[in-house]
Amino acid sequence: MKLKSQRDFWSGLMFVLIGLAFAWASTAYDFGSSAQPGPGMLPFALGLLLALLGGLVLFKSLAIESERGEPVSEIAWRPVLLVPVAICVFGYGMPRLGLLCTVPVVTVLGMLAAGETRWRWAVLAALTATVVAWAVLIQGLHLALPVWPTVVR
Amino acid sequence: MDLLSNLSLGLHMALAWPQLLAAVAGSLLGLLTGVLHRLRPVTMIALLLPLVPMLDTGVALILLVGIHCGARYGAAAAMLMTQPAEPGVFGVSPLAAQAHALTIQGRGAAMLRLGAVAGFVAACGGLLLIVLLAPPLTELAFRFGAAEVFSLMVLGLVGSAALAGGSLVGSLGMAVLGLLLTQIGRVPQSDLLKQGIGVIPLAIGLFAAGEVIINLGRAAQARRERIVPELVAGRWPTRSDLREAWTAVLRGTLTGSVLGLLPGASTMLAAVSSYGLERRAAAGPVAGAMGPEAARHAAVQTTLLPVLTLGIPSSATTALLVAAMTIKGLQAGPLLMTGQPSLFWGLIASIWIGNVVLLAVGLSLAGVWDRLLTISYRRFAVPVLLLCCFGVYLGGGERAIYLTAVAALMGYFFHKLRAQVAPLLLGFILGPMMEENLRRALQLADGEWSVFASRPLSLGLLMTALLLLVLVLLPKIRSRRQTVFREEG
Repeated sequence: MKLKSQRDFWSGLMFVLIGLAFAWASTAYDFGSSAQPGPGMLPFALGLLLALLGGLVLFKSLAIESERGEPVSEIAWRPVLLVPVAICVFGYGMPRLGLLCTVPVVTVLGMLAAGETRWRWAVLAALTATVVAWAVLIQGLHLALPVWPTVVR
Repeated sequence: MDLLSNLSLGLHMALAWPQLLAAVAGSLLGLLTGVLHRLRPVTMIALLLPLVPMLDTGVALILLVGIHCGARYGAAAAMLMTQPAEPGVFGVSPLAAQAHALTIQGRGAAMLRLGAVAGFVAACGGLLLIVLLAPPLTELAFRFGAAEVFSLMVLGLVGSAALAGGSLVGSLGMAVLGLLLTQIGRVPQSDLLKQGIGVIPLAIGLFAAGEVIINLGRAAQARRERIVPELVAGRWPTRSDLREAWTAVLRGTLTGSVLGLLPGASTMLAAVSSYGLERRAAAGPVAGAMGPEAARHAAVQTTLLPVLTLGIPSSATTALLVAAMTIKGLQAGPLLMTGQPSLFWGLIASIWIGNVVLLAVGLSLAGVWDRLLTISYRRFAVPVLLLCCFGVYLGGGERAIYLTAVAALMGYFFHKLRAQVAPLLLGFILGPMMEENLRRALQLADGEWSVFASRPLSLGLLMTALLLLVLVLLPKIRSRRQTVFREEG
């Protein structure tokens, strides 16, 4: 079967799956009564509603013709992978390695995500970012952030 | 006179040094956000959200509202000077094309100055409407019981989905998804989700970090999107410009003030409606550009009215304002004006002061924006990324950072599927309040769901929501809605 709209197909599918997942997960909790809804009632009802709306979108994507099939445009894998990785590295690094080691790594990852492949620039940016972050946040605002790795502290 | 004493109370609060500084800083930051390539006001507000707990309540709100209002003027500069991008994909918006044509004729700086005046006039008009309507609306809101508040929030959510771009059912789905996200963490589930999802990681992830991915992805497609002509600095609008524009500005102010009260993408709706109005009146190019400009500014001010009086945000930026109030332990809604009159009226006065700043900057610096506009997004991708990380980490620690990474990915894929993120954020912000009012209404009515239909005011609000859905689905309005949101491109 040919998809009439790729975008609608995938968003519809996403809604149905998320909705059903919420509805299914909420069956483990008390539904309560109508006067005193339990913790399971709202997620169950909203999950079913979302799945229903997703079903409508899905139906539309299979039945109703759209302009040029509304394809999902190409995914930019480099930033899609590197930006979340950079964010996670920040979260993992800060409490363990401290600001002075984490910020340069995150900066270089960000530069890579931006398609900057000249190392000289990446190193320069990493140094600048670290010095600025240290000067503003630690020296200027006296924020309680770890500066050095736990081994040194 | 009640009005005058209120305003003097507001001015008294707004003219203290910290508040004055916040108003100026917010407006300038907003201005910069609007001018710079592809930064949006909602991104800037999300980035500043982690600062809110450290600031005084009034200062924090003034700062955020300043960005909300200032970004509009910057966006006007960007629109005047850039080639409407990507023809054929969304269709070139006639308004942007016309504005750009004026710049090519060497009238860019003059139009920016005229735009600053038009914006100021419109902002005054919009603020006047707020000042006049806020007390009666607040009084009305006090008469609302839990059932009415719930129905009003349903109307707000449905309206924001109906008047947002993209598919209606998809936007409704996003709103429901936002509501569902508030349910996570109510009962112990997994370790990661035990404490629920915070608004700061969600907003920063979806908007700021998600946008970093979106924009870097765009840059990777290696296409020069905008052609920025040089501004001819030092030009002022002529007398004939003024004569041509002033009726259009007044018409635009009126249109914008009223349409700004609607939920959804109401500023855009205001600009497009005003443009259509000027076209029908066969107005010249200057009036055709200034009417929508005024409408947009007026609408930006009046979008604040439903938030400040009823507690119902209508856009992503105003939803983040509600989040900021919640962080400060304030309840958006009628209690704001009666419980904290100096804060409420101080906020209004600060918005006016911010607009004076924008007028002054707009008149004096109209010749330098072209240099800012050519900065590519790649230059500030890394600083924005670091700001996201530090902001989230300071507020929520390691766990919040991982949530942000997930939200950033979600933001990117929603963008790819053309799913609207604003209804999701609105659902997320309104969710807890809706649930509380739902529970209270049901409790009072002994579990009778009919309570929402048997109380006339509540029934009226729900019927309005239903009517809105039916209207949007009508073929004629549907095609018009699509042309309106093509402007978003």
